[in-house]
Amino acid sequence: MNLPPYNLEASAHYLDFEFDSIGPRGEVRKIVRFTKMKIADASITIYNLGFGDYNKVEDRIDDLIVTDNKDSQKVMASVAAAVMAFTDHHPEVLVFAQGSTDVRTRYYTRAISVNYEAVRKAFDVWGHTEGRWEVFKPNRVYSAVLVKRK
Amino acid sequence: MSMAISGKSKKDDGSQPVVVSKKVKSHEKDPFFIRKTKAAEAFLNKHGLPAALAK
Repeated sequence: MNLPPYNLEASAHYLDFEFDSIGPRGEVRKIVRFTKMKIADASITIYNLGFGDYNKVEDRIDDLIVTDNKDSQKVMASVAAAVMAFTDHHPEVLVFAQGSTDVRTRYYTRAISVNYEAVRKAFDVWGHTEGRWEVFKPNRVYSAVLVKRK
Repeated sequence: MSMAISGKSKKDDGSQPVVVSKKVKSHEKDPFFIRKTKAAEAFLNKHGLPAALAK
């Protein structure tokens, strides 16, 4: 089963994406942001994938809230759709992703693992574990991932 | 868990899940994303890149 993503809205340069998670807790605005990173090796362009909930009351973004809107798969499909759209328009760059907690990082890497056959057709994927990077292997525990469109 | 991933950013019904909207503002200067990016930079500057990418 391919779970469809939510409809996403993007900024003109495909750096910012927004969508609404819809579930028992109502509508929760989700924001995905790709930010260019400054790293030692300036010959490679890497963007950080940032993801969080927009808190209307406090007008700020938070990634430690547990929304519990019973749609986590659809939310992950939507984040994946944002990565696809971003790399459609920026195919030469790498995307770095790391969850705000170990649990969330494991959740992201699990989502890649479950969909690995599809993911690897479109992306080269690396995972960071035990102090080094390796080509992503499904069901391994990683502390961060890097992806690049093929 | 399974999610839609394809070579094109389209839903199964052919519609685009992503549309450009002027309502989406840039979060480039949002403290949340600045903090997250700095943490990511620190991680990569400490741990480096995959050997296949490092020059």
